[in-house]
Amino acid sequence: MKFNDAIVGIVIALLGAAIIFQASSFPRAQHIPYGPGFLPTILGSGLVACGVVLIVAGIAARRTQRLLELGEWSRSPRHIFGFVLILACLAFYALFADDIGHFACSVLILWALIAHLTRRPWRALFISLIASIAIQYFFVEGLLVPLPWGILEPYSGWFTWR
Amino acid sequence: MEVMLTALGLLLEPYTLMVILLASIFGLFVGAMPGLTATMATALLVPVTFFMAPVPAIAAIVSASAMAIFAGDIPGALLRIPGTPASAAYTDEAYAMTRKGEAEMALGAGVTCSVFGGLFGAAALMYFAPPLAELALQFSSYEYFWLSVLGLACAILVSPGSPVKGCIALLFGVMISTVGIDPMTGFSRYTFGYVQLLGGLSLIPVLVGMYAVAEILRYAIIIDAPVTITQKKIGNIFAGQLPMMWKYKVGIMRGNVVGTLIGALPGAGADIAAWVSYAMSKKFSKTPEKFGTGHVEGIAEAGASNNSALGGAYIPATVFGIPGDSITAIVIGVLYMKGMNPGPTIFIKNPELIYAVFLSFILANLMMLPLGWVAIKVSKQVLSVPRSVLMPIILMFCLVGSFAIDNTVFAVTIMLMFGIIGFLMEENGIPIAPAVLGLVLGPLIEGNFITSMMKADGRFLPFFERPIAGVLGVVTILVWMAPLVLWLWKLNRSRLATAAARS
Repeated sequence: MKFNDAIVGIVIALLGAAIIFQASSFPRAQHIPYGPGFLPTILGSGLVACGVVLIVAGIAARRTQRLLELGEWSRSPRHIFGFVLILACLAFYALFADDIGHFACSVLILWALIAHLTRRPWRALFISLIASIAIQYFFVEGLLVPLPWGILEPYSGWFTWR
Repeated sequence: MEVMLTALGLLLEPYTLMVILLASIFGLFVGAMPGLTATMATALLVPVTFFMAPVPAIAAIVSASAMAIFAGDIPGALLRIPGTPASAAYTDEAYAMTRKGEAEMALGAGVTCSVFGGLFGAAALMYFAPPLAELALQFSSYEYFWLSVLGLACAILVSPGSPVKGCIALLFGVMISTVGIDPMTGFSRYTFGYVQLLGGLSLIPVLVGMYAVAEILRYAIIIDAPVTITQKKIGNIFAGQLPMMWKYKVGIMRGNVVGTLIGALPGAGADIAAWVSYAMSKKFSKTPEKFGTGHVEGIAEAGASNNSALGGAYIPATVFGIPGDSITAIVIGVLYMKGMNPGPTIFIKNPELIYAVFLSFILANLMMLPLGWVAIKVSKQVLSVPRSVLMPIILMFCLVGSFAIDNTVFAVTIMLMFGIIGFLMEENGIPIAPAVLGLVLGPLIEGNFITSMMKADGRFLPFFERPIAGVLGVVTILVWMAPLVLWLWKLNRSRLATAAARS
């Protein structure tokens, strides 16, 4: 997913400008002229400068550099789906892990990804169950990470030897 | 000496030894899997080390990263795919040796030279770190300010590819370090109203996102035919190693020194050390024409170099708290989490801990001989683990690991965001290492700058008044100017060349 340098430059310059804009609203320090907005302003200016350099370079190279170079995978629906699936799984975990619990999320995510990548859904279900149980034991029982149980709360006792 | 014995005692506890052994196996596995890097091994280890005492925690990271850098050579020689970027420099050479039927020699050189390089790096660390720490004790905020700015400059100078893109990565890294409450004024910056961001972005979700999640995303879009190992059986890898090392002793020593130096430079790690050493080996070789046809000389020199870089990176990390590479950037984060601020005072307050780190380097490198032998013997089985099953499980490790740092699902959101950012950065030629360095050095730079300014009543002159600060300041400014001067010089030369061509 390679963009033309000019596009990267525009994004970077805008990011820098937004940082400077935010920093300008920061309060000033009392005794010296260097408050909380000082470093961000420098960094933002640097990003704007680098962004401008990239814009110029990108425009200069517009004949050889396409606006967006996607690579071979963009013509394979299977690979696009895999890419989106990973992002979707992570977003799903971030949104729902607290409510439906880590274990259920883990089985679902592992099954979805392994089934997609290996194309063998039943074997994937088996692997995802085994792996989820192993991770659960290692982190929750071994390292005492308080992973949320969510809807499986009533069954949490099944998994402990304590 | 007494400290050394205490340190040895800490290291030789059965629990610590078991941790080192497990971490080594983990490191060997991760290093040997193409696409999983030594930095990723370290980042994935952090959630686990979180629950350990300091010595086993650091020893685990040291041994895992050392093993991973070596193990990267294995798929390089057998599949022509480097296991970690540190082996990329000589992958073609090693594979050419395998095709000539010299896989044993290539893999054996990987093990023995890695061990030698690793031991050299550890020795350099033990020799140079304590006196440097003594010197660093006299440093004030001025010196630290210059040192961290110098660190940033080095990161750009050595970053591969376009310096502008290196600069962007660096600025971005420092920028994300300003998120959260400003320690000087208590004002919250760039938190967008999220309470979870008040304490700043946690290093681990950011790192796991940029290194691991980005790599998994990249795996998802790779289109290539599965590769198979052609090598039938691997014989005795240690046969003929000693004569080989003796023959190329000068080159290997040069690799050791270059590796340690590059490792000690902030922002440059094992991968750059290997590239530089391989190129140097070719340049100084008596038989440069043999390079690329399956010649062990470059592998020996670069293999020693990338492992000695690991030890070198700990010199600035332990002495100044400035990471020498992306692995030590994580180590510094771990030390802070354990309440031990890296820097010269750690040599006074917890000398046994520092010496335990040194000794764990030696132990890990000695263990590399037997473990490396086993790893090579079982490499066929290891390399046939399907990545289509492995990658999702690693993703789950990333999720749980990020969660474990703060025990919030919010960390997963951060990880996801930085996974996408890291993926886009790499795709567009913006290196990740300077961003990580910036993230670690950011608070150091700002804190030391504001402190210095308060002491100096807002004047700039005191930044140069102390002797060491003055020298560091001048060097830093020169290093920052270097790319500009080089660019002007090149411009001038090309102008002269065109003028000459016209006349």
